[in-house]
Amino acid sequence: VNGARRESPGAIGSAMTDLVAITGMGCISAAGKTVAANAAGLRNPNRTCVLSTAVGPANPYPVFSVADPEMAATPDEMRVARFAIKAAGEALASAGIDDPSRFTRVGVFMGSTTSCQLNDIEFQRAYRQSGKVGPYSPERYFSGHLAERVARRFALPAGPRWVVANACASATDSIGMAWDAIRQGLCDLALAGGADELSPVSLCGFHSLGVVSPAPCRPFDRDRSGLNLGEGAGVLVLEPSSAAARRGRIPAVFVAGYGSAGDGHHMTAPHPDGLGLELAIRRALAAAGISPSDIAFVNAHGTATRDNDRIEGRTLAKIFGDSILAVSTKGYTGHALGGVGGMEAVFTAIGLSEGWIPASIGFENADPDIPLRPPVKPTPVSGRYAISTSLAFGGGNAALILRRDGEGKALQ
Amino acid sequence: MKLDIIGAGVIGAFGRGRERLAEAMAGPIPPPAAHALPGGATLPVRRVADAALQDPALNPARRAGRFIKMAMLAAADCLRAAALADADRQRVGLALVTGMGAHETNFGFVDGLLDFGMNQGSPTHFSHSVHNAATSYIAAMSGSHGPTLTVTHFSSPLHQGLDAARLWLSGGACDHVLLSAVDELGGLMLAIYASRGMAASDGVLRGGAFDGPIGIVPGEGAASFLLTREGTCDRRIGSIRWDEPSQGTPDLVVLDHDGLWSDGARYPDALRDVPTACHNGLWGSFPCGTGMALAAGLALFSGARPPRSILCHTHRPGVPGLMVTP
Repeated sequence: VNGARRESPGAIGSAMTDLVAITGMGCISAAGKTVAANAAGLRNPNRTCVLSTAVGPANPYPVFSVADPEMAATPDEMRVARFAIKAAGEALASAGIDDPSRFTRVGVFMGSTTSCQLNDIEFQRAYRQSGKVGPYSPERYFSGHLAERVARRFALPAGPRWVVANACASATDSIGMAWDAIRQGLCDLALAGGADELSPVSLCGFHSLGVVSPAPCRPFDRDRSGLNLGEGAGVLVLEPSSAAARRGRIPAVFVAGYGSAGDGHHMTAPHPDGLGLELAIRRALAAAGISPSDIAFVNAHGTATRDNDRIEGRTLAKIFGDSILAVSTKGYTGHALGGVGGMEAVFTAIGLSEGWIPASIGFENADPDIPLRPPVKPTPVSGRYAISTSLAFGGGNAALILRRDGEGKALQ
Repeated sequence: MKLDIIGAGVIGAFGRGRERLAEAMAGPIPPPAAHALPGGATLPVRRVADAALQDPALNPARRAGRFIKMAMLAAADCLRAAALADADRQRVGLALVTGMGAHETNFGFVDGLLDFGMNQGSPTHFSHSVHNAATSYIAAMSGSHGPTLTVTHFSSPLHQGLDAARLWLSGGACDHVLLSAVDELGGLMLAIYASRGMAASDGVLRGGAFDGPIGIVPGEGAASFLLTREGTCDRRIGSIRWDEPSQGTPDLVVLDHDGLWSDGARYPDALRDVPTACHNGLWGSFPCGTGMALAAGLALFSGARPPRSILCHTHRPGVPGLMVTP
C-alpha cells in the first residue's frame, strides 16, 4: 500500500505454535455489570443513556454511565481504577484463578485515557484560587497506574505492567500486545483490556471538537450526528492453551491475530483512504493466517461520527465485501475511549462463542457513502473467526482477531 | 534477546543532540534554573531552553506543546542519524513511553474551561493533550505506517518500551522500532512536586552518592533510539540487552540516579567496586530519565578510550540494568 513493503503473512505467528486462549473475561459497562449482564444487555433494544450537563445546561449530552455506587471514586482510588479492578476480578474468577502466585510471570496490560491524566477540574480550580495543592487528587493520580493497581489488588507475581495510552485504540492494543507477550514468553498469564471513566474534561474536549451527538448515537446511519461517551472496563485473561489445559480449563475462544498501524496523516481526522486501518486489519489477518472470507463478523469501532463511520465502513467493505456483518455496540455502551476495546473484545468473544451478534442499535437508514448494512436485530452468525477494530485519535488503528474452537458454547 | 541501536537523538536541559550531551558530560554541571511558585518560593529545575525548540522541522507542530516538540526533535535527529531508506521508514514501529505525558497541555485545556466556560474548551489543547499525540506527529513526520504504541509508567517507562520493541522485532511486526522516552515540566506539576517536598533545597542532584540523600531536581527531555534485531545492520552505535539476571561485569556503570525512587544507601555492594559515572544532574529527575542515561552511555562509546561494556543501572524498583556494548 502506497509503496510500503509487502507484509509477510504469518511472520508474527512464528513464535509459538500454542494458541493463546481466553480463559476468563470480565466486563462492566452501561449495558451490564458482569459479562452475563452485558450479554443480556446487548439483547435489550432500550437505550440506557442519561443526560449529562457537564458542558453546561445549554449542551445536554447523552452519556452511558454505570449506575453502581460501589464504583464511586474514593479519596485514594479513581473511579476508572474501580472499574478495572471489578472487571479484572470477574475475569480472574471466571478463569478459575484464585491463587495467581501459581504463575511465574503475570502481565497486566490495560488501556486507558482518563487514568493517565490528572483530570480534576475542582482540584485545578482550587489551586488557581489559593496557589495551594489540594491533598487527594495528586496522590490518587500517582497511585493510580492501572496496571500496577490491578497487580497490587490481586497480588499478582511480577511481570509487565503496561498502561497503553493509544486513545480510543488503547484496550485493543493492550490485548494485542498481551497476546504477543504470551506467545513470546514475556509472561505466562496476562490480564489485558482497558478501562475508562466518564470525565467532564473528556466530554468538554469532544464537545470542543464538535463530535458529540445531542441524541443517542446512530453508528453507520445516514443521519448520525456524533458519539456518546461511556465508561466501564473489559478485561480478558490470556494464557497458552496448553497451560490452560494443564489446569483443567477448556477454552472456547482464542486470540488468533493482531495488527496495528499508524495513519501518519492527521491529529484528529482518519486517513481519507483508511490506510492505517486497512494495514492493521491485513496485518491481523496475516498474523492469524486466514483470509478475509474467514471472518464471520466485525465488531466495528463505529463511533457514529461522520468521519469515522464513513472511513471505517468503506475500508471494511473494501476488505471483507459489502455483505460483511458489521456491528457497532457503541449504542449500548457509549464510547468508553481507552476501555472500549476491552468491552468489545468481550462482546466479540460472546458473539463467536454463542453464535449471535446484537443489533447495531441506532442504525436505521443506510448511508449512501457507506456500503455496509449493519444488522437491525440480533442476528445468528456462524464461522470461527471474528475481528474487532479500533480507530484512535492521532491515527492509531488496531485490529484483533478472535477464534472459536469447536461448535461454540455459552461462555458464562 | 539483544537489540542493536542504529540511531539516537536526545534533547534536555544540556541542549540538543548527542554531541552536545557528550560535551556537557565532560564539563561541570551548571546551576539549575529557578521556577517561580505561587507565593514567591522557587524550585530548582532542569528545563529545555525555548531556543532549543526552534526548528523548521517543528513547523507542522507549531500549535503543539513542549512535550510533542521535544519528542519530534529527538525522533528527527535519531532518524537522520540512522539514515534509513524511505521504504524502511514506512515500516518503522513507533513506541513512545512517558511518565505523565503532555500534562501541561492538559492543564492548559482545563484552564481554558475555567477561564472561558465549560463549552469553550480549546480543541487544539484537547487534541494535543492525549498521550499518543506525539506519536501521531512522529508518524506523520517520518512517513511511518508501522505499529504504534504509547505506554505510560511512573517508574520504568523505558523498560516497557524496550519490551514492546523486542516483541515487535522478534515477532516480525516490523524491522525497526523508533523508541522515544519523553517527559515535560509543567507549572502545576511542579507545584505538586513542591507540595510533596520533592525537590533538593540546595538545587543539587547528588546522583551517584552512595550514602545519604540524593535530592531531586525536576527535569524534562526526550531521548529516541532506533532499534533493530541484532546483527541485521552494520551501522550500529551500540547493542543492548536487559533481561538476563547475570550480565557479567561491565567496564563502567552509568548510574541512572535521580532521587525519585531511593537514595544511594540501597546500592548493591557490587556496584561499589566498579567504576561508576552519573550524569543525571545534567537533565534532572523525571520518569523517562533512564532514556537519557542510556543516551549518555552510548555517548561514551564515541570517546577517546571507550569502555567495552556499560551497565546503565537504575534504582527504579524491580527494573533490571541495561547492558550496553559498542
